[in-house]
Amino acid sequence: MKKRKMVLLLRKTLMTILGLILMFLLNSISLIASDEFRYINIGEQNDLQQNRTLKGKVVDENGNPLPGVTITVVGSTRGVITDDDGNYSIEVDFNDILELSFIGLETQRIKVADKTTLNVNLKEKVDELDEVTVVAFAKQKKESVLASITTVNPSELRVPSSNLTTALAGRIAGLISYQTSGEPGQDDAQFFIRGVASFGTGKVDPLILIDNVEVTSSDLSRLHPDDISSFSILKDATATTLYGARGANGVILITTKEGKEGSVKVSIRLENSFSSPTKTIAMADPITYMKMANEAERTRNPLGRNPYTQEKIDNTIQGINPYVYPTVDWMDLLFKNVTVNQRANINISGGGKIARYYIAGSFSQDNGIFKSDKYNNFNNNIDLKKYLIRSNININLTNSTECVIRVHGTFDDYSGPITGGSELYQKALNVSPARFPAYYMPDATFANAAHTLFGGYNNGEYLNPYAEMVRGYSASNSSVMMAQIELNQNLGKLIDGLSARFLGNTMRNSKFTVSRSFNPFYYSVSSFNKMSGEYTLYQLNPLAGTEYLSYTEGDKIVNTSSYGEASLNFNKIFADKHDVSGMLIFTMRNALNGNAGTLVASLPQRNLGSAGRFTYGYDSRYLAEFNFGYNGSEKFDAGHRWGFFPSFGAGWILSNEPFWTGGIEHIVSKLKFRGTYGLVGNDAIGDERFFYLSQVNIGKGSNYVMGYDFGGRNRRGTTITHYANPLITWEIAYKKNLGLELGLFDGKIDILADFYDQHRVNILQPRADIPSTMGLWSTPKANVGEARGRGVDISLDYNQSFNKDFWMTARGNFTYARSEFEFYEEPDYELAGVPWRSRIGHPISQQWGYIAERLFIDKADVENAPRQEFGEYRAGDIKYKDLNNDNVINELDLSPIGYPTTPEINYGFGISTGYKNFDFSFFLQGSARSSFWIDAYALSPFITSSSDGKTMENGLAKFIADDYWTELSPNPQVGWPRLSNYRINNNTQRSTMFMRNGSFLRFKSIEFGYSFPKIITNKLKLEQFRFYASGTNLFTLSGFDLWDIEMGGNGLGYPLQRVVNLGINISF
Amino acid sequence: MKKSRFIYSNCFVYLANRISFALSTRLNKTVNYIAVLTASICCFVCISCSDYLDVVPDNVATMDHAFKNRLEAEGFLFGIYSNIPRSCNIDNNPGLLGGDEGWLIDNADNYPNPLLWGIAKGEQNTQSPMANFWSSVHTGGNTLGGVSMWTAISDANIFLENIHKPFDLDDFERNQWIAEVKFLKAYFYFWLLRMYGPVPILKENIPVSASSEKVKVFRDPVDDVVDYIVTLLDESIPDLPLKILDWQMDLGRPTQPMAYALKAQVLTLAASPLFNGNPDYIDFVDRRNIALFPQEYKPEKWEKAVNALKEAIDIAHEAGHELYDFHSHSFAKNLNDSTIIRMSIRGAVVERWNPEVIWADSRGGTTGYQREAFFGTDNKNNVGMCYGPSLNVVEQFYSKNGVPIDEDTEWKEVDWYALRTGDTAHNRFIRQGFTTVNLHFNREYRFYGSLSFDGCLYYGAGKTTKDNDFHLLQFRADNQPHGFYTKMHSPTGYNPGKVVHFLTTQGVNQAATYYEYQWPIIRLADLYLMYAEALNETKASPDEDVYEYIDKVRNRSGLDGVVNSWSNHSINPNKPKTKDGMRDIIQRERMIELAFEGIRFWDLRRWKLAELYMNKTLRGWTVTKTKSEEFYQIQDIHTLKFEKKDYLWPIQTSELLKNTNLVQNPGW
Repeated sequence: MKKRKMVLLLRKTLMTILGLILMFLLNSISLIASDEFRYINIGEQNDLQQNRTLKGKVVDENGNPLPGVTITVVGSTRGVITDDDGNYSIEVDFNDILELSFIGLETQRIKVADKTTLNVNLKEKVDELDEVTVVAFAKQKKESVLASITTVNPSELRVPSSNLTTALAGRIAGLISYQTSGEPGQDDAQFFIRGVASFGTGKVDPLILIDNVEVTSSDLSRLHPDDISSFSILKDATATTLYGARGANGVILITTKEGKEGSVKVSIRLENSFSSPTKTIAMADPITYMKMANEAERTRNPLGRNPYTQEKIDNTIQGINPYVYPTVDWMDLLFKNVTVNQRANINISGGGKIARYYIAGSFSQDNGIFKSDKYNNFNNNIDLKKYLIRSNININLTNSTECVIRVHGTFDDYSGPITGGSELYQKALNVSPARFPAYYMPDATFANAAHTLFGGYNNGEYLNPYAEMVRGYSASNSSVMMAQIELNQNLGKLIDGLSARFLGNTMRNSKFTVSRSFNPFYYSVSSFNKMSGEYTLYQLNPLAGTEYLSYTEGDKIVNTSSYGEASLNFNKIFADKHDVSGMLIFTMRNALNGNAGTLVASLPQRNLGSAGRFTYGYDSRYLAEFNFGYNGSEKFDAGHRWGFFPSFGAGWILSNEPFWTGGIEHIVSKLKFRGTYGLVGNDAIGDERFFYLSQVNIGKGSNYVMGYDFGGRNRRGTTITHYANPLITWEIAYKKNLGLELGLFDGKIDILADFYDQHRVNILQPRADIPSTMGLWSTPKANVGEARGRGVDISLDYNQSFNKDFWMTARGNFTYARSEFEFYEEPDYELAGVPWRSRIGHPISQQWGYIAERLFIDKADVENAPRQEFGEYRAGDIKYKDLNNDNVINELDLSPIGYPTTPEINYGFGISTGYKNFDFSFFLQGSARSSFWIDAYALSPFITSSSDGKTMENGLAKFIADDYWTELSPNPQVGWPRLSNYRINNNTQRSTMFMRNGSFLRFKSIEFGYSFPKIITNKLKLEQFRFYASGTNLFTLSGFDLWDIEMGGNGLGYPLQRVVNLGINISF
Repeated sequence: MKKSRFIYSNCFVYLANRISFALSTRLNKTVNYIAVLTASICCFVCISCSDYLDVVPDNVATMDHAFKNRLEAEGFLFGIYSNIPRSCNIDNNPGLLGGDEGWLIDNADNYPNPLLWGIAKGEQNTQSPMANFWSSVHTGGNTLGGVSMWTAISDANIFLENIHKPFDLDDFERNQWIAEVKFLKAYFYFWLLRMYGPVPILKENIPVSASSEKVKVFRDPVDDVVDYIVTLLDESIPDLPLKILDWQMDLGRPTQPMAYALKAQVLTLAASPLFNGNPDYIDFVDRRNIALFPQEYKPEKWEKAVNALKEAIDIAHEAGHELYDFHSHSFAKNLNDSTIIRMSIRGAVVERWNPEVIWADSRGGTTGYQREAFFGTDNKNNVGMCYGPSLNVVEQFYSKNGVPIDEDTEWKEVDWYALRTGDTAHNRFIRQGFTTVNLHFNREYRFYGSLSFDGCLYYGAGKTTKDNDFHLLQFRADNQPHGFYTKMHSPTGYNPGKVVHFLTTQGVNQAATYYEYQWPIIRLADLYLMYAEALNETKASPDEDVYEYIDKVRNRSGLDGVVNSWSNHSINPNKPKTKDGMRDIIQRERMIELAFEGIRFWDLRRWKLAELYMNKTLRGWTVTKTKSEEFYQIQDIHTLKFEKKDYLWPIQTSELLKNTNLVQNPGW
């Protein structure tokens, strides 16, 4: 009863709030609109003296005459329009002011005075983005920005991929990014602003805002670069403090394009790309596989039975019969070398004085690299179609009121293998190449079978990856809908420089998955006549197989979020020197999850905040800024719910000083120093929803049964998910930033360098010293951890036009980000005599492992060495170093090994150049100071494992077959330990044996384009017609060649893709 | 209340807004803007009152709700029960596969090596100890088959601290529940004591918010732990029932006989050589320099054990417990005595709630163990049958005269391993005409009741009523139901048929159906033999009192008393007359009677005999062969290794790092 009331109450509350917001928006619109419409009234007559005629010609910047320009006398209704040659004549008075306006061009006002002819040159409207930088909730004049913000030209993010996140690596100073999978739909790159600076279990990646609204990284990945108007990375406290609760990990701020005044402009881009894996792991041949599989059995168990008889090996070598003695190249059987993907994108923009529009639609189809079976009429390959529709409409309701409606929807239709691409890829490597063929040609008995006769073993429980691939498909459909209204009100009439803004937004996500599959029939050879070459088959799973499809429903995801903000802005220059601005903003966000699973998770997630910015600039030379964010989060106890995050900044533009003359102003055309300091918070610090409440699960624990025949009392116990702790509160980052902006040679070279230091405190961390004797159900956590991040981001831009045909730009950027444990609650390792276990002072993604000395030489060597506590080991297994000399190798001997797993250095360098109608660009991207580990367990050949009732046998990678320990030549320095067909824990410990350097330099992209000359395009009535060819991931330099190094230890996953792309871009 | 106030406050804003709107139509533009803006901002500020962030409704479950009423409290009680380690589970009880009773097939097909077998293979370690009953998965530990006894104890303490709260729980039931929880707590401590020796005593829970120093508890000396367990049991006994009245609902709840029996077990453990003045541990002190083990041998500990055992046996008799006799079974009416005696031995373990069972795990869960021990009759892969008792154990069973075969005068001339063909005289146990070895002839009933061997006749699996129609089991490579090369077979040529219920069956081309039973945690024969053992220790030389209870157990298995058996058939006829001789006899009697029940493992430790038994080479037949002459060749299966450190479990290294006041057990 009470609960229902509560729900009702909650709903009412919500309705009220939404109603109120709507009220205000409507109020403001109707009110302002009615006012302003009254104000614009055309058609009143005025008695004016017309004492003379003014004549002239209006031309554009290139001197072409402009017909149709409206020329009016300000304050009257008199006006004329220029003729075909741009000429006009109008009756004027001495005091009149003429206003010349034309769609798409800057309106000009000119005093008539005593002129008799007036030729006017109308300029194109300047894209305001060249002058301003998008900062939190507003735009700021580029010159006066004190915060550390990197902006990217959206065209640089254009890569032949339907996933925007794959374009980020190496492009942006301050961003660390890498990609670990190439599977369509799962290929989002990881990215972190200034590295990972916290070690909490919560959010460590940046806040992403598209048009002021928080979105997920998958929303970002779907964004089309052509639709982006600005892309900025907000890094320091001054830039992010306004986001209070959410900005500690940096912010990615994106705005989408808006329509511009002018006639309709259409831009179409069509791309077709050929995608193939950059590198795949090489597997050993089947004969080697069988021989080594036998060795793996006998080297561990000399009495064991060979899994492959000598007869089978001999017959296989002779190639007697490919079905009876199969040699299967599973990778070749399952995967195509090249797959073709298409993308199309169109955007239409334009508008007039009252309304402007930007409408875009895009379509992409990404295919996987799997083959299909000729027997199936369905496609089991990955087929991911993405659709996107976007409409941004700006309406000038009055001269001072602008309303922006943004609506967009993204829709994904996915169809792919039952198990998902990555898993299937891995499965192709988890099978013996010689145990059975993918399928049999039917023998006499099964000649009429309507199904494929898949190869199998035992009772058909051995994994046949081919059967796994073709036995069905899984389809999912998802959509994201976003609607947003923004209202900008210029209040200049009230107070000069004042404006207000309201924004309301909602997003709706939904997704569902279904899969359809049949159970394959597996076969094995029952007899084989070597003379005739005929074999007979028998069915391994006659009862389990089906020829028809069955159906399974998958996840259904529905969630919504809504967001509202209201702000007041003030911007004014007093006495030409004192540039003052201020802003106050209130925000609220509410998110709901439709299938949360638990009561607590189903409760709304809310965030409420107010923030402000105050800036002062003197004569464009001295700048100061104060920002704050004041935020509340529902996660914390009422007493610790609110956080206040202030920041300060100051700057000096040396190059604007009056003494900056005498030639130096041409060499060093810009020199600006700036520094900021402030606090930013983070409330997404853990998985728990409400830290101040205990979470117990009554009746969800283990049960106990009583009674004579298991039928008596049967109850479940209580478990505790976490203990209440009202003290838990914000994670806070104290950020310092020093920046230098340098423009050289009249702006040909631009250098931007930032040095930062951030101290993250209150990191939520499990208490490390709670012994098991406390008997707790979960480890309590506390805001005790501290981390420090330091680094440099530098970017360099070079622009040069050598003559009117030849231009060149070059860009480089370099990011060094190191994050360390400053305080980490851990056992007293000093006291325990193992100081190397302590994390303090080490990078956050530093790995601890054992130092592998070599492989054991023989039995005596094993017996004389310290005892290793990871189960079985013998000669040929890995010998670890005993760091604390206690004659036992256990966790006390773990020491930090290698670099952190997140690279500390990211850099990129690219050149774009054009000559006449040709253009060419390339981009190199690199990463350094990281380590990764080859997954020794996943790669251990011959190990069997079981999943979903299928038995899998690890394949044999060629690099292992080429260099492993054998009893015949016991070399303790080879690359792979003694073989085994079961897991040897001793050899799969994290150690230096399988550690590799993650540094690489990648030839990330190259593009060659040709634009048709004006003469042709003009004839075709086109503005631009460009062909281009581009490629990504063409080659990579690194010290590792088993698979694509960027994938790290996950070399068995779906490989990254090398893409060759052809495209056309037409606009008119 | 709070919520409605919020609504009102919103209404205010709403009204203010409406008024400002109304005014705006009349007043000039400037006022307009100001009004609208002020109202708007007011609204946002107002919403920002923290009510907006109060998203948690009342009645979200917290710890208080677990004790609001009787029903919830009962759930919590059962949660504590669920921590009882599953004694019948090969993955929980190291006693089953961690010792020297038998061996398995390495990586049997579709049957991964049981985790705790690693203990027998010498893979125990401090890094991630197997059967780690100390650490907890809840706090990031890895228990590898163990159950966190500390969480169990902490839950018991939570229960005791809160059980006064349920409004609808009457005093009688409350007191019984409190007694049950104290019993369980005692049992959890018993597990810890048996494995780790000295452990911290936590009478009450330390608060979650306690400082780092407070939570670093010390280990308490063995004697203190024993005293504490006894105190808990003494407190629980008055409120426990003598026996369970509602069998259908309540069997499995603690009774007085259970509590007395557990107390007797604990005191016997404390009196045994491992803990009673063990010279190996004299120097073992903790960080406070307190000796954790008793410094000297105290014979009075045996006296205490004797008294407790007598009490336990008396109360068990009072409650109606007695040694099991298969005669009472409905199947018995057409069976002859030799079958019935065999089945009495087996039935004492596998027969549900038979009168001999003092405490059984009412959850069942014997399938895993039965699967390893069951000689399946078809080739379906859910039969494990990979557990083979070693020849060492096979030889340990007595001759039909009730004395060891190496002492039996009739066995002097017998070549144990020579081939012999089944004849009419032995056709109850061995298929007539089947060639096997002398070792399988003329043995005691417990041999035939406990083991399946090559050529034996197996009672059960659908053949339960006719005396002359039992399954013939064969262990040679060509006659395995699975075909030998499937890697599913006994590594020694034997299976422990004793623990397989006789209603466990397998049809042709079908999966086996395991008949679940409640695994006995304590049975009366165990107490009888323990009583004999303790009495023998308190006396200068054994007397009738000592013989009485061991003879009861022997008689049930069709054997004569100890004194007669030895004097009539043994080459050491006076062995039962000496204290040492009698100790030997009682220990062997326990190993035979309680074979494959997971008790030998703990007994050998308690007696400090593990070093002797568990450094031997396990032997079996050459199971890869098919011909009799080749099959019956002895092969070494594995040489065991047991060091002094292995008597006690290692504490996980990470625990020692967290709590620097803890000391590791000696040798680890």
